[in-house]
Amino acid sequence: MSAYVVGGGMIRMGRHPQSSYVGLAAPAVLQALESAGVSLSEIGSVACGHSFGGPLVGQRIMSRLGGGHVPVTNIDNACSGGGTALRTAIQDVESGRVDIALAIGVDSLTQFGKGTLPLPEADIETESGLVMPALYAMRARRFMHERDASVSDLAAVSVKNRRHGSINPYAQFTSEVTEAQVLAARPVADPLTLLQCCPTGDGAAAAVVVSDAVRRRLGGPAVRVLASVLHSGEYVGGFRDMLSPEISAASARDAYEMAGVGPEDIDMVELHDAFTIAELVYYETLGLCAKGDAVPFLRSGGSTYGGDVVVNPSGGLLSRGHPVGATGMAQVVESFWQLTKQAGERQVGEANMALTHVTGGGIAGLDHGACSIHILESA
Amino acid sequence: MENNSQVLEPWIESDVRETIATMETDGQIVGSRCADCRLAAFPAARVCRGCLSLNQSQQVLADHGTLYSYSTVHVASGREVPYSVGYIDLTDGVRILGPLDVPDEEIACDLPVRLTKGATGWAFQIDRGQA
Repeated sequence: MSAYVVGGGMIRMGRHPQSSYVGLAAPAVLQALESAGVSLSEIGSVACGHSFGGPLVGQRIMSRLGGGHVPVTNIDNACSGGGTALRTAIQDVESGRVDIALAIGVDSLTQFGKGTLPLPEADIETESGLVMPALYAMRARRFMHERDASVSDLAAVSVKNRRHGSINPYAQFTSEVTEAQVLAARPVADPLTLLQCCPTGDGAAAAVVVSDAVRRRLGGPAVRVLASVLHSGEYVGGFRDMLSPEISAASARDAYEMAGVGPEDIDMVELHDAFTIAELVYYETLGLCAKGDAVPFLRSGGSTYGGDVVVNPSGGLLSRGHPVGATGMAQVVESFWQLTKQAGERQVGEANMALTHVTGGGIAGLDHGACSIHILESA
Repeated sequence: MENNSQVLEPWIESDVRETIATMETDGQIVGSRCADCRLAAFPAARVCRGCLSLNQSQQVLADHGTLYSYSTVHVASGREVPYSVGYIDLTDGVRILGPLDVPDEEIACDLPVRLTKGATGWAFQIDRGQA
């Protein structure tokens, strides 16, 4: 049984300290429902991804909108919370349990002020001084060592994604940056400077997932779910190649197999560029370029408009922002708009197939704790 | 059709404490009423839970109603004990949790109560006009 995304909503990502989780998510939910042409009372189940909203975020959102009664599942899966919520909604529809499911992703990081994300204190690596920028910084250091790459190559990712984000009104950052500015920014975790790190902010996005029968009844813009994959990381006590994260590699392999397509079929990708190095690593991990070719792929324009595949047309986490649990859903709503030709100035011309990728969580011995990949196609 | 012309903003919300503060300082229960189906809400609603209308206006709700149930709290984090709270069904259909100032020997379910300024500040007391 197939599932389709038929509506999406998203608020402008940014610092919204005067908005609660309900205040962030409710407008996105209402927009998603309106764009799908379904009413709240038709929703059969709700999945809500978030990391820092406390108990029962999904129910709080639904109760303030006059919805309820149906199953609401709250999902904490670090940076993959939104992607996992989408997968849950898809499963509900694909299994035939419901005809219409709602997926929400929401988080507020301004509640923590500024700085790095809180990590579980009981983790041995947190105890020893790990923060997420340090994890990615070590990837960056190793990447530069093995690939003979420079900090400028890393900075070029920020330059590209901030350029993409500069025409995305939903992005937290809508200004461009130069390579020199990126390099001159203050250090966060050497070699990563501030402008190589995604910002802290607040946001929400939501999507309506329906069965084929409902899609045909509604008759509006739709994208078909070709693959929906979730992986947890595998513990490795010894050597681990940080330039080929096992969790994303396994997720990508399964997603391509499930969809029956290959990287060459993908027109646009929204991937998890929490830090500049991540995008370079994931070009290779997702098969968008050959192993070892990430820098020339970026430098030759292969991952921007006019290239092989437009990576992060939204501006990615580096521009749009990264309200942890919201990101996976924001990627899906961006892809929905792109595949249904509603993306305005940042429209990827020939976008017929999109891949979204979120991965995250810092756990000792794992690349990450959760990774979710979706492949979507214009219906 | 595209989504860039009307970029969605989050709801800007006042702190929920402000809603309670109005009750505590002015004795006013400020909520909202749906312009379409007349359903009242506390705290104020953005979307009507009855008819899903967005057409809501702020309204001072009834300051009296019926005490549905109550408790005197002896263990709580973050505030001084003991204190008494109860669910009051206001006459315009809204149930709110409010502070109680009712003598132990008189307190009971289904008492008529009214938000009144007394020794402990604004609290629901027995509505003698109705008792």
